[in-house]
Amino acid sequence: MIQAALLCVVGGLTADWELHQEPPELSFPRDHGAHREYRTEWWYLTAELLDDAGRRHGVQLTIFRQGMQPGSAAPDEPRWKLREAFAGHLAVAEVDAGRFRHAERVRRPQGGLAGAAHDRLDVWLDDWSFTQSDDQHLRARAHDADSGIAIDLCFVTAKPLVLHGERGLSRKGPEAGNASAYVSWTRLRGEGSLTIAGRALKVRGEAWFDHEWGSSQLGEGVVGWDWLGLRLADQRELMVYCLRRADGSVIEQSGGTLILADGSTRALRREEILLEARQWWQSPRTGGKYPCAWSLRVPSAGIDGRLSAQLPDCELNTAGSSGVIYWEGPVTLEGSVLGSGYAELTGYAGSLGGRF
Amino acid sequence: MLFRALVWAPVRSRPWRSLATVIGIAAGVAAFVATLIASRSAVSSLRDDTALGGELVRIEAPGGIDDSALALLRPLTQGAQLLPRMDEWVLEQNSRSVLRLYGIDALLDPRLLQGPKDWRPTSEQIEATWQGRGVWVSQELPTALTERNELQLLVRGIPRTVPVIGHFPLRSPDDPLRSAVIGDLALVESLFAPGRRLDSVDLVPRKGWTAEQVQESALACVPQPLRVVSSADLERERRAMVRSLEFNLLSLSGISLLVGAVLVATALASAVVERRKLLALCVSLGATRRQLVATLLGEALLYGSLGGALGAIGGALAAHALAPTMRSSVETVLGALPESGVRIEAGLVLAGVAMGIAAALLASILPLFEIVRTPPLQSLRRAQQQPLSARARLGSLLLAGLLVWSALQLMHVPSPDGLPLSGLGASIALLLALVAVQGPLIDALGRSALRMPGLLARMPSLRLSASALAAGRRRAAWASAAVGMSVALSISIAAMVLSFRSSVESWAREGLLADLALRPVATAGGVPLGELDAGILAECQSLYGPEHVHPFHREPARVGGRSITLGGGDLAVVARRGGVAYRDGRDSREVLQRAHTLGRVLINEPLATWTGLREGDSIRIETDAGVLEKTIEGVFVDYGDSQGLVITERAEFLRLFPRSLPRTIDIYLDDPTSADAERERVLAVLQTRFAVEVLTRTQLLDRILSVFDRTFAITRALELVSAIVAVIAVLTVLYALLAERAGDLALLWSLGATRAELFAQILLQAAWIGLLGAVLGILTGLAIGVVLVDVVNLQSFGWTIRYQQPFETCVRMLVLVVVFAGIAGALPALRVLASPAARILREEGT
Repeated sequence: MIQAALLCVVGGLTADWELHQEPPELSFPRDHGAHREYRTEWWYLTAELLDDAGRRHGVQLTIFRQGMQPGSAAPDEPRWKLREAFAGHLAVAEVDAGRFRHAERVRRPQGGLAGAAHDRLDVWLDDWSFTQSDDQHLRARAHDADSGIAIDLCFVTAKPLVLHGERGLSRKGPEAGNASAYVSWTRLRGEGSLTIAGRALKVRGEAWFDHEWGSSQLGEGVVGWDWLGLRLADQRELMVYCLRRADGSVIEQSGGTLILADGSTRALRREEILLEARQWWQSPRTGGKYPCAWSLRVPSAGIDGRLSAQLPDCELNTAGSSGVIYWEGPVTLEGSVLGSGYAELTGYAGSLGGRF
Repeated sequence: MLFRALVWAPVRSRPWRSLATVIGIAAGVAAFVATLIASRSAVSSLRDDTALGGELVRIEAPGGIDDSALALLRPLTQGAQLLPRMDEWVLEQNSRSVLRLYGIDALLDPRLLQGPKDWRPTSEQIEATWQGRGVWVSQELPTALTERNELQLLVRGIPRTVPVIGHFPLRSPDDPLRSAVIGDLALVESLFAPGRRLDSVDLVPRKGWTAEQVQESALACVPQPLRVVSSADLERERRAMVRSLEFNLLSLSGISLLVGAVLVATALASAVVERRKLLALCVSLGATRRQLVATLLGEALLYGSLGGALGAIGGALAAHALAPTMRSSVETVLGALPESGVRIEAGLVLAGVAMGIAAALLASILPLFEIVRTPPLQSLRRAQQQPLSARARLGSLLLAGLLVWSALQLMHVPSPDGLPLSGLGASIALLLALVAVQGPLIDALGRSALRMPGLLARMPSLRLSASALAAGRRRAAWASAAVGMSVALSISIAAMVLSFRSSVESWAREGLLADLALRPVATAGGVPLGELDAGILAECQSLYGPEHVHPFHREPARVGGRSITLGGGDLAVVARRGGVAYRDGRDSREVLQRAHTLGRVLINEPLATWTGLREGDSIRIETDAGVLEKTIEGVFVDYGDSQGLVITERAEFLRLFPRSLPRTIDIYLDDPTSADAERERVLAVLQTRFAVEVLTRTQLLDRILSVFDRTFAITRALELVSAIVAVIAVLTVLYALLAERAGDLALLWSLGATRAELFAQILLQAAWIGLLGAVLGILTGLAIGVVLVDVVNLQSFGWTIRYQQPFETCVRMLVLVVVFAGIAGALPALRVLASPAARILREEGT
């Protein structure tokens, strides 16, 4: 099968793309739209939802844009030439039922079946989409008949937009340009419908939305990352990313962001975050071995607790789209402060080095 | 016990005759199976949707789908995966084989490049495919075509070298992807022209969705001029295109099986005669009729099984050899086709065996009457060969007359649904009439032997052989019928081919008047393929001026729900010199000029036949780009199209299909005698950028006829088959006849006849069978030829053809069959004359 595995193919030389050297000059809603001068971009929603029966569900919808050819098209260039492609991942974790379902899509933007506006949040891939009707309202829609899951969720922002790192510049490696622009709505509240195996459920809950773009985000030697997006019970949020080398060590540029209850933010250095895997889960399908429980300490934020996956098997094999095998699922924090959110673990079933 | 005595022992003791019988039925079954497999294979190359696996719904438009339409289809992505596609047939430059070039969205379309579990392209191959840097070809594509990992393609007359990224495996021997070249949409677009539209968007239903639901959703949101069709619709359209052709091919092979069945009947009847004494003895000893019938049926079953199995296997093997010829025939009707694999279906092979058995059992019906009438041994000596009674003679002749009358009536019955059923019925009636007159004819031959005049009366071998034949009338009639049917088959097809060829030749000679004809390079089968780049037309117009250049375009359209072709040409250019003949006999220049001036259209004869449209009628031509309502100026004779063709002014055509490119370009020179020099000039101008064929008028005529002759080369093989059938029939029957008349021969021998005289008598007896069969076969064949030309051809293709009698073939067949039959008689003659006369007489009890 020849389809997809989009991220296996690096689109053009990094040097031909724009690189983030300095903090970007962000302006919204323009920067919610696509940035075609950068190679990789994604819009990312993770949500924890409860249905009317009180059952817990985790939802993830991601739409990637992968640039394949930098610059603008020559006048006589075939219009179907693969200059960029969109990929999508949709996953639903039925926490109480212990089931995980996911789907994927991929398409080039020619003809308008996939695309992203350049001046606002309007991203679509077939009938999957993120749209923003105004400053505060975000809608996520996706339907996949093959896996039997669908979402139609409307959220209202509960906190202002967060610019991670240095005014939105999130460094990911030692080289100049090893960085991405990274913004988030860390706490969204909303409701809508979630369909599982053809059965529509009314759901409500909280979500986290990321938008990130860059051309050379990972530094030399990085094989993957552990990312956490946690909403704490005290109305703070914590974002942590640990960029790992093959030996498990974490590079200097790892870090995070602490969002306070009033929406103000504080960048966290690597030294301030102690994330240690305590328990592992091995995928019977790919052999990938992922941490499923950690001890998490951020002393400067008064956080000391045990983080654990709500459902161990949340592995996505996206061979048909982005070509990455990773783990993405809901987690719970217990300890000095309670919280929950999502974890994303990459590089445990094959290195991501050179792909981002 | 009875079976061993009556069947197994004679079969073992007469291995050659048994073998000939088995071969007889095997030949019929083989012809049927081979024709069916080869025609299915040729037709299968038209398939593409089945290659993609599963049910789908397709959105298409003849002029192509604009990219902007895709966004409108977004709601459909919920229930189906949307897969855009480009699809062109191109020519491999060196072998001139037809390849089907598929442009797919390699990023998301998994259907075409799927292989076994352990087959996976490398990431370099994947990236190269996405980036449109090359194509994939099947592992079965001849390696010579992809030497140096490159394909040399001719695209719209422009030579293009395309790198080969890899080879994909096929899923079955007749996988239509055998001749496929698969690349990303970007590559296919760049091979043609930036801006080339999509040909279709396939909607593959997602889980929980049926094709019907997807089609319903699509119909609700797809705008005009897009068309929504299901795989079932596509299959129906494909089958409609080839239905008449398949029917004719099957009918042809069915008649072959009929000849085989007659051969078996001959063999079984002969076997009964040979064992007459043994049968009579068995009856005397108490064997019941039922037991005897069972033994004969057992023997028929044995022959049928062996012949059927042998024929099915032979047919399956012969299908490979027949496939190229069959493809050539299909190409003549449907246009260029890619090479397709030959798939041997187990069901078809088993059906072949079953047919062999069924034919043998059916053929045993008449010999069963013989066996039932066999008297006890004590009565056998009194049994005499009876001449045919006047009543029986009259009955047979009346039956033959009735059959001929039926054939005449059937010729006027309209064909249901475009299938030439009545034509086939008329042909079968004529063949049965041939069988019916055999008995009276042989009987008359025997009678006339007694009254032969003058010189003939002084040739005892001639008289005796005719009498001997009449004495074994029933067996001889079967043999002669088998020969006759086979000869009739050959002659009828020869008549049809000759008539067709002569009509095409005069049509081309009188109607194709351009001095130079530019065509896309033709396939190995001689059929031009694809369009001509716009640059070629521009060069021609710059050389000779637009008023001397006639570009001709074709696109699909519909008239009254029927799929036809809409052609666009510069009528004023052609009107200066004229073109093909018109049905009402008017000068073509006048018709063309009037059509040009009055803005009318011209339709071809098949369309007029199918729809009943006439000159002056109004015609509504539906295209997906709009509707044309026009008046018909003329109906022209056309042997190049059987589906229906409407020709309109090119400017009007291009309003509907602005992106259409010419299929042919004709050039009319001021000085036609300079055609050769001008041809060189055009070639010199074009050959730096393009590869096209530039033919003078003479070359074009030669090309048309050579393609025709190649297509119908199979008719020569049919003549040989007829001769072989004659040998088999004569051999099987003569053994029986000689066994029956051995006593008479021995008596003649004892009375002083020399071995040479007896030998000559037996050879003449064989020759009589051949002669009777050949003469009646020729007469019947000529009559069936009329049915094929005037009825079957018209019902299948809508072409009017002038009937021509194939005199040369008739003479050749007559000589061939009589000589072969005579030679075949030598073997049984030598066998009979090897035994001493006294012994024969003693055995016969004479």
